[in-house]
Amino acid sequence: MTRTVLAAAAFIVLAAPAAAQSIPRTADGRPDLSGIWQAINTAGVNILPHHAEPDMPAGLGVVEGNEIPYTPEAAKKQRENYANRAKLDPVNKCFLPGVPRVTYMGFPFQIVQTPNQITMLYEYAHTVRNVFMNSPHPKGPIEWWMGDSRGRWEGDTLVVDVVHFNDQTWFDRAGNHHSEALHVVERYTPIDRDHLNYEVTVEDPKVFTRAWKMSMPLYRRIDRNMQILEYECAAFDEAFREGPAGR
Amino acid sequence: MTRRILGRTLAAAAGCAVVVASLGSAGAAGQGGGWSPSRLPDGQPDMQGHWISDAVGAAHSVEDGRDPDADVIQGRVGERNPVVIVAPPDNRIPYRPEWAARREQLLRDIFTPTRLEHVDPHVRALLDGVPRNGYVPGGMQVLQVPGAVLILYESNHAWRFIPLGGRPHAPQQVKLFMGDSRGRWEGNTLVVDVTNFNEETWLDSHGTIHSDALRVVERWTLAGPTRIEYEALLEDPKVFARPWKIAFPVNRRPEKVYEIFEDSRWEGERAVAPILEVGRKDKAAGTTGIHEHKRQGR
Repeated sequence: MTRTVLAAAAFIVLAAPAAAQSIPRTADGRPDLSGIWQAINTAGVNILPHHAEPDMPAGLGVVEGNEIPYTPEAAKKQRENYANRAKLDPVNKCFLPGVPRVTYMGFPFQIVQTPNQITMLYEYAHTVRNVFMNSPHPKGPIEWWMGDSRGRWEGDTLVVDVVHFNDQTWFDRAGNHHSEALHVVERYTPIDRDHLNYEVTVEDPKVFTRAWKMSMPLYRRIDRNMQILEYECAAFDEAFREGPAGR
Repeated sequence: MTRRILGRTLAAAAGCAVVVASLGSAGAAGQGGGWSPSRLPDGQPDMQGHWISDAVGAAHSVEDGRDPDADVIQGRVGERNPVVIVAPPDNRIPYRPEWAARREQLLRDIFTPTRLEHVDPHVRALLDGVPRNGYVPGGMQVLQVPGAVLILYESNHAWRFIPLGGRPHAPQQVKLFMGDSRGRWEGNTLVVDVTNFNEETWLDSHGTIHSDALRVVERWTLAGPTRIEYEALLEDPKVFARPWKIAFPVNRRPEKVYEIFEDSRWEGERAVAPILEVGRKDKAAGTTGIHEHKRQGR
């Protein structure tokens, strides 16, 4: 019995430093976020807590405080979006999904990390984001679907500041929306070798009365021979538009 | 009819103009003997940076380059229009008879398009595939990380992640617009084996089709600090009687700082519906024709 206790103690002693060491690092000592990641939740359906509907599984939500601080007018627009989501959801037209929605749509994405540029490759509609490190945003006004991403390290956290959005993208299939004044700050923090914490701060003075946050874990896809494939949404959409249902 | 052809040609010309303007004076600079590229920590020759192909016109036709009729309309007669096919020596694609007939039919359908598959996939804002993504307007950025090369194309924000070192291709049932790339370095040459293609992409706007048996072997040779010699061998035993090869230089972009802008082609796609509308109207009115080039002096 004593031996068992000792073995357990030894395990605990060894396990603690092992966890800290288990975060992969690059040659310059930064966390190495390279790899293929995926969110496993229903934020793509609705970032707020929600019960199930046809084709929309239930979920506990990812928004801090379970509330999005819309202005009254913006709240009304969200309700209209929700009611007409099949027609209005930009992703149903295969448009680029914006940030942070692209992260939790249910498709894997790959981080390719170099010291000055961290590129994110998404399976959905071959979306790509180039995060330029320690460099300023270009002068606007610019309206890009995926915004302009600039990164920096804060300790072991990759902080990505994103501006220059258009007002066309949504946060989820439930019609949660923003304007072109959207400002997103993403924080990617390694928890261990195979998990990142993904935290997002959202500001948009035209739509929200204050900044708000969401967070979720991202899981490494450890599947054997995992690679990003293609979801060439446009090819499906054009066939749909040309087919009997689209006429 | 003339108006339609003109409109299309102008769109193609605008694309070409971008390519020409971006080439600057890169030319054959840095072709000195004895030059060798710097090495990255994992031993790969350093191919990183922003590059742009010198393959003027291949996006229109791999066999002919720009349309000579369009050159007349655009006042570009006499400008460079290099042929990118280097084998076979007659610069023609060795289509098997059945596929030559299919392409000829497609060139007729391009003249009076009535179905989506009569419209160039590039115009439809679909992924261009390999090697076409390398010579449509817009350049590319190469990033290298240990064990892999990433090519980010400006056109249609396409990309290819190319693992190095013997990793098997995806199962053959998986078909991809961009194919499935596996690379290795042979000296200063990045050799990329590309398989798993679908049948949706064309090799140019000229209806140059292929099957899902297409296999492309690319050779990216670092020839100097500002120049890559690019070569692609195309095999498709269903479609081509024998393999054929294209080659062209790829030059480093002259800009000191360059960032790829978002090219949201699909989101801005407004061309296909009017193209089909006019094509269907013409077809219904009994119009027939074929898109072809006069090949004087070639």
